[in-house]
Amino acid sequence: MALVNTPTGQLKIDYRDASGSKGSTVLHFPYATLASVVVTAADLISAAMNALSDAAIDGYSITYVKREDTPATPTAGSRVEEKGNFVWRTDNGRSTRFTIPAIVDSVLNDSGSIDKTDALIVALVAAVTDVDLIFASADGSDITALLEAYQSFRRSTKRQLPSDR
Amino acid sequence: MQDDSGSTSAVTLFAPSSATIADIDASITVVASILASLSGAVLITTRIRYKWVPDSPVPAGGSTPITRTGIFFFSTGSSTPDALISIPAIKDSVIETSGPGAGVRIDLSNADVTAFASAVVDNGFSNPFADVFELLFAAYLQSRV
Repeated sequence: MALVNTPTGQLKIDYRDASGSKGSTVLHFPYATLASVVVTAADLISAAMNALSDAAIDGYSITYVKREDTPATPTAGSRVEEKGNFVWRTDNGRSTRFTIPAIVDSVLNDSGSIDKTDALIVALVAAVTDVDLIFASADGSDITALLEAYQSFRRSTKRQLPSDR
Repeated sequence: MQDDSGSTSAVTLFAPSSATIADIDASITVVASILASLSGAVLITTRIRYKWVPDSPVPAGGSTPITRTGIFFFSTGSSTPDALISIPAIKDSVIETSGPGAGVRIDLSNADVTAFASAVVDNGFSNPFADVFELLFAAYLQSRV
């Protein structure tokens, strides 16, 4: 079991025309290319594309993907709609959150809150708030503490309904 | 992550945009090892995405619809697959106006087209299999509705 990178990363340039309709251009680059190098190239190529397109460039994104070559077997009955919600305090006094799909029942209290003293949660908090890890809020502020943690359920999408229903 | 029913979902975490792929990968590895015990779903894919947006929105330069697309074909060598790059709302000024390709073919000798081709080839872009582009050899107009 290992995460294996795809052969290439992807540069996606987003456009918007005068009517507000959106489109994109996708380019690939060898996976080993540093993001800083791709950024420089993206700026250059955006300028070249601006000269070719009447649409405005709304920005671009650079994506690197890895896939598990032999995924483990999910726990029987697990559903991604069952979320563990983790709300975090950040260094600038705001909060940020992420969810963990198919949260295991063993970390839940009877109320549906998540047991913050559970060893797995303690390990998660240590990892996320550890200064050696780089996770932050969307505005770049460092994550400092776990504020709330609880279970919730999301509505199943049509694609998530059983195929043999 | 994928659950027992085959449905997928994601855990989204943010990292400073100044962080390198290697740094983010290392942090993902640590968190992923904890997630494996916290979730009944299993990890199938990781995705690191850097995003740039202009500090103020730019108006579109003309009335060309986004569906009027320029398709640019690049070769990667004699034994590796060619690939294409599409540019939405392609300007009329790069379309040939005479000859058998009039109204459809993109003029490969147009200065803006050659500048674009050079930017692609000189900066190491490739097809999805990492075969690096060597040459722009054809381009034409396509409507993508």
